[in-house]
Amino acid sequence: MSVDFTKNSEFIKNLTVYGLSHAAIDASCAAVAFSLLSSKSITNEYFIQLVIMYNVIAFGSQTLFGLLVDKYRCPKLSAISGSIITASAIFVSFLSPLYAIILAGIGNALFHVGGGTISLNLTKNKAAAPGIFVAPGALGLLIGTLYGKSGSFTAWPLLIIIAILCALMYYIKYPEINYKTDEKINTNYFESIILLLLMIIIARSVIGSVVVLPWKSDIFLLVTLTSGIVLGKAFGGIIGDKYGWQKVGVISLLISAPLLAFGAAIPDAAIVGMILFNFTMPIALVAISNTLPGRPGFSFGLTTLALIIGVLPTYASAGSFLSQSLLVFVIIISSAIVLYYALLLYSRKINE
Amino acid sequence: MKKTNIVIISLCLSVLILTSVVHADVITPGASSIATLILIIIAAIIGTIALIAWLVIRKIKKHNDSKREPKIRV
Repeated sequence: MSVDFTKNSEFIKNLTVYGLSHAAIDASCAAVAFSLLSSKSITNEYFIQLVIMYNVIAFGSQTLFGLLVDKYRCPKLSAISGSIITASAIFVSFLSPLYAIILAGIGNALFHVGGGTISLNLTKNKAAAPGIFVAPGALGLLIGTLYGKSGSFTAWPLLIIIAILCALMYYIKYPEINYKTDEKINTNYFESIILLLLMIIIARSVIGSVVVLPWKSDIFLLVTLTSGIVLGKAFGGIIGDKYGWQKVGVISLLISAPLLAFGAAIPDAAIVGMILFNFTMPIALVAISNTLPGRPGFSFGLTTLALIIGVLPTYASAGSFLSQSLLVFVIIISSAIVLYYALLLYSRKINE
Repeated sequence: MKKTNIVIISLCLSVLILTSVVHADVITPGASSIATLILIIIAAIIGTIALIAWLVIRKIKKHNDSKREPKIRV
């Protein structure tokens, strides 16, 4: 029986379930990691190594999982199995920190590829749904981090939530996924568009890692900041679809540049800057996906690969160098120029 | 697109080389050969995945180019 996804109810059901699942999965992974630290079962140094390993697995493997999910056309299975594997990580965390982190990374990657594939096909060629799917992850990370650090982490609340969400993912109908890889790519600038958009995502990852926000220790301001990031990702796609990706993306980056570069110490300025800075996330994701028709999982994985590449310099202690205000400003302005050019090429058709 | 391939491969290699000469203090206080090795391994893994991704993209491009009909010159 086919389901009409132009009806709001089906659209809202899928976004709600997969968006909440995204928050739950990210919360679980963060809670597992930080509970290991707060229980003092591992040293600070080992914790950092585990976090790095988790990031590499969770972000780096999505490209490969994306290829597999596209090949075998199983986004729902990927999302549900990823959730189950993440749940198993919660169990295993009481036995082995290393295996827990590996399972959390794999589970997270599988879920993201599956859920991302579905979100990319809820509103064909539009950025709204993917933005709303991705947005709750930041909130989940915050909740999981605080829960893990609290010292009173128990497995059952998260396991129950994941079980309910798995059941909902199983029963709701997801949209028809466009797997037509024989669709002609209607541009002469195929590789350039993808490379430029990935560069923007790398820059976004760098900035997100190096900008110092000294007031983040205030829990109220931290929650406000996280809410701002969520709103930025969620509304970036919606506003971009309505007023034009190029206009919205470039203007938001240009305004965010001075706010983040020179206003990071001022909560109001930095939070507004972060909201605007995150507008480009869904735009870049959907532009890449549209340039690679029929490969939503691979497209989603490319963006997370770009994210981990952007974080790598900070692991090599280049973070302090990159966090200089002028450099932050130059990187964001450069991103705006690259985005303008990338979307200009994107809008050109093959005979131009 | 030979130049682009060279750029991509060089980028992957430079990440490998970069991490072999940076300080490992971010992971363990004091320069640590194990921590540097971890960074190199991470860079190698990410670089390899990036290379695979790029080869897939190139394959898609070639497949698309082979399906394009030639322009009719008047």
